[in-house]
Amino acid sequence: MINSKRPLSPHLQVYKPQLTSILSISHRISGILLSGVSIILPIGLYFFSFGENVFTDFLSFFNHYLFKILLIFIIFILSYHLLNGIRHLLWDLGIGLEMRESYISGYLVIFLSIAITIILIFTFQLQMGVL
Amino acid sequence: MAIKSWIVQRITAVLIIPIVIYFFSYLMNMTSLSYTEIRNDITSTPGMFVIIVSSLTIYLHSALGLEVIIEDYIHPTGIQKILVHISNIFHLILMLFTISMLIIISSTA
Repeated sequence: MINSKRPLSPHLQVYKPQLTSILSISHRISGILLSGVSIILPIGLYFFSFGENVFTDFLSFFNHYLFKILLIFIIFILSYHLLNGIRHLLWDLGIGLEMRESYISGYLVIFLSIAITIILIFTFQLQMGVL
Repeated sequence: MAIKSWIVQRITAVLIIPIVIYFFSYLMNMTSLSYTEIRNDITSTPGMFVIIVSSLTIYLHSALGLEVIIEDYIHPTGIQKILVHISNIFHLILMLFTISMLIIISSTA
């Protein structure tokens, strides 16, 4: 029998926050945000199809500091989702399922996604002067 | 069906890892390339192949991910099904739009 008042999984409002649960929900939130970010592929191609001048104008949007902050944020959530995704794939193979291992890999994901973001900011700055 | 989605979600996840690395390495070299060079890369057979496979993989992964999230957090089945359909249609449009843009760019090259 369906009772709408019945608490349903994953009822986050009664769940005590822990590193593992925070990383799990962050994976979903970053996934939703990246779904939105993925629109950049057809939009980029759309502006590209109008020729060099229009495409250059489109790229110049990214010179605005708000876009730079947004770009850094996108790099971070992409790195995070990618690394945490690898963590999930390893779990599917039965690797790192122990509590201690999942905490170590969790901290590793946070550390590496921040490190990759910083490295990419500097690389983009050196290569393109974008960030 | 759920198991099939689960497997496809994992396969697309594995495929996205090299795709993201490839796109980022290309973006970093983009400033050293002219508009014509980028257009030649996009419209070349390997270029078109990479973009089509990437859009298929990314939008499939994204649609399946959103479907699971909608099913977990939106409980009334009617609204749940409508939202999943809207999400799927939206992803299909993005994929078709990407492929259409590729055709337009290659036809004007």
